[in-house]
Amino acid sequence: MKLQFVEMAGFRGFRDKTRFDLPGGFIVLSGRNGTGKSTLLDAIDFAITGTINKFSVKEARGGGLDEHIWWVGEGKPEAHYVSIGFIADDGKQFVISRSRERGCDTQPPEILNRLTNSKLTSRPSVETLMQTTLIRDELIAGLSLDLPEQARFAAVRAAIGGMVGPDYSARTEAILAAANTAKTRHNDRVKETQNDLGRVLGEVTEARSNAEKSAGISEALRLIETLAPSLPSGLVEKTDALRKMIAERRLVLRDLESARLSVEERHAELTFFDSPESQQEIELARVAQEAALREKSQADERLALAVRLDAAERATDEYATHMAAILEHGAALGLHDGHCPLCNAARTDKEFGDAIAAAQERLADHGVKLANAAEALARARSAAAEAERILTSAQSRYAAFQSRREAVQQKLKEVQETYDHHGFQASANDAKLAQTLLFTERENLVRLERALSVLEASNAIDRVKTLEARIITLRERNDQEAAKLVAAEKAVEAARQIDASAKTVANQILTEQFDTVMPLLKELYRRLRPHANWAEIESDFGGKVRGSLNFTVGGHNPQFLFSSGQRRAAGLAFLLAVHLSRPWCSWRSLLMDDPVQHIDDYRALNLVEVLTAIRRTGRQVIVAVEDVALANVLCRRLRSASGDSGRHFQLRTSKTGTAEISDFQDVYPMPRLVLRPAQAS
Amino acid sequence: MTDLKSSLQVVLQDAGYQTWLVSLDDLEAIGFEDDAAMGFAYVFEDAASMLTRWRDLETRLLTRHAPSLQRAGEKTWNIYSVFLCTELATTDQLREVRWIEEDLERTRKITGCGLTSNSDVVTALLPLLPLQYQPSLDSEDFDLTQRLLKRIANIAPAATDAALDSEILPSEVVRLLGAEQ
Repeated sequence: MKLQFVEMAGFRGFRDKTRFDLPGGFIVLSGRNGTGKSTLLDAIDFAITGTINKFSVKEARGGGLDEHIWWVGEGKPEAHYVSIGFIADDGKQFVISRSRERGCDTQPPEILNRLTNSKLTSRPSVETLMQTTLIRDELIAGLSLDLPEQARFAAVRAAIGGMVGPDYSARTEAILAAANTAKTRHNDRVKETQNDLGRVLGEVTEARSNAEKSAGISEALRLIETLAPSLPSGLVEKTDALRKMIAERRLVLRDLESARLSVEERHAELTFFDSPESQQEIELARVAQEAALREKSQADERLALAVRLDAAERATDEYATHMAAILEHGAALGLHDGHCPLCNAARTDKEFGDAIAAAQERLADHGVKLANAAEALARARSAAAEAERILTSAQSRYAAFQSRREAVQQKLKEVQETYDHHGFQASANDAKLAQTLLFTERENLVRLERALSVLEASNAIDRVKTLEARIITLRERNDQEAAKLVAAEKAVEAARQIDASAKTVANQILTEQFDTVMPLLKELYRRLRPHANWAEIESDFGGKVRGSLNFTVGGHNPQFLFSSGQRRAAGLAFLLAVHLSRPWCSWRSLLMDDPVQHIDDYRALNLVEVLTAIRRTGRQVIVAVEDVALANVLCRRLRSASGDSGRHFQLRTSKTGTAEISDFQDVYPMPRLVLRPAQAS
Repeated sequence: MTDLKSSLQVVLQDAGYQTWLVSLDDLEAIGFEDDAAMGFAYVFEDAASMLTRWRDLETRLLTRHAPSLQRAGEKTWNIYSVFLCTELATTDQLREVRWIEEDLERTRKITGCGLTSNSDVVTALLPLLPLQYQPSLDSEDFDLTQRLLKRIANIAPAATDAALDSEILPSEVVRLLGAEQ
């Protein structure tokens, strides 16, 4: 596959539609700066990759590369596109077109399908394809000798790595990641079991300490059997029931003690009511109450009599008062016609006066009687009131005795009920006995608590046994997890080795391939003769995965030994070797953009001869140079042949500012056997 | 010791050149020509002789073939003068010999000193020859998959088949590598 034509319009410096028909042999482009030599190569690059791979900076103030792909000068182009045509050995054609409006009509996979070897399991990118096909002035030094060793290696890998096979690094990295994940998981499990084991070891230490208190368990059981025979037979059940029973009996004990104390507090009262003195005192109160009652009755009778007498006197006193008033009135009236005004009896004045005086005397005596009756009544009332007070007092005193006795009896009844409720075999009023019995109960409770402690210690033994069994289980599990972790670590190591192998094997193969390519590089180096003293170049791969490529000349690094031009010449040898070693590429065109900058005439001639040798491999060579003389040398040396002829395009800038083809000449094959006839003659 | 003249002719002929002997008074040179280049080769006894006589020899050969060269047109620009010797040159002589090559007047000069083998001759004549090495990278030995599978078989035989099979989950490969899930 070779380039057949390049056509463009509105692209870079070519405003007007321009077509370059390219012969299969070689094409030399010459012209001053800015006349479009490089643009032809840019067009090929752009058509295939969609960009121009010679600018290290793609964005800048005033517009980046994208803003300068298409014509930006005066005048309006008819169109904006680039079209490149290929022709295969069998005559089949293939065109890639990329326009400003529609983009590219051919996708990268199809481009690669056409321009690379379809038998390969993996293909390079279109960028790698172009980078190894088009050797630019900008890249000669930058992509070869001046590259860091790793980048140089990567460049070689991209160029000749197509035969290596699929890139398994992602796959092996995924396996390594999965192995690490498994390892982490097992590591976590080991830690988890170790933590469990540590925790249980702590627990068993504590349980063992408790278990040391378990001596005397038989005695404890006998005691429990005696004091609490109704408990279940199982040790754990018995312990639980005993713990519960002790708690309940503590409450009962507290209840009984409270009841007993309430009796104890009433000890004086009980004693009092049980004593003969208290009986006598109560009897006296009762008798006093009865005497007061009688006295009260008598006083009431006397009072009633006094009331009656007083009432009678008061009734008499009313008559006397009337009489006194009448007497006083009669006295005031005096005799009326010798007759008494009161009784109309004929009386003398004397008789009348005597009668009035005698009557008033009698009335005066009656007042003394009335006063006496009232005084007697007052005394009777006072006596009745005193009898009432005495009676009340006597009743109160007797009732108080009665009340106290009932209160004591009520408390005793309640206490007895409490005792009976709890089955406490004591009499309520016998506080001493109750206390003795409670002391016994408390002592029994203490003994039961100790027995419980012993039983619990016995449980600790069980717990120790349980924990020890768990420790064994955990240790076994820990061992198993540790074994799994070891297996996982081995898997990680194996995965790491596989991952490293994926990289090293690829690089080793690449190294071998490069060793295969190296003779060509050495040959090209010898041909280009960058340095007079260092006629040979050596290479070696370094790095852990042999991922760097080093060049040496006579044991020195040419990067720092050579001049700029010499580095470029050495770089050309490298880039040309890479170009010629692409097993995957079916596009047989070498594109060179101004490859002789900084190179002297002698080394430029060496380069021309190298290109001649490359031409002899049947490749199409397209070279852009500024110097017309060098262009002519190229046209003479690059071996035009029938079917593979050459063409020289001369470019210029038109009056309207667009790049254009000013002229082109076909380069015809040279005459044969020029010297031999002379010999014959 | 290699017969340098014979080697010259063999190498040139192998490269597609016609060769013939050219007698020039008491000297004997080798003429060569193909479709694009032509020239003369002369074998000196040593570097000193080369340095002394190369220019005169070039002139005499061009003069001798002037009529033919005048008919050659553009091909005249592609005339080579090859000056070789079997003896080693001193460092100073080598520097002067290089100056011969860097003299771009009249013909393109190719020099070589201390040539003792065919490969030395090939190296000296490289500017005239097609590429000597065309790397072949199609060998099955470069099959990464097979190479990697062999390597994995040594690392983990049980996982060999699965390791590079993208249909099999990486976790399954890890299991085959011995790790439990």
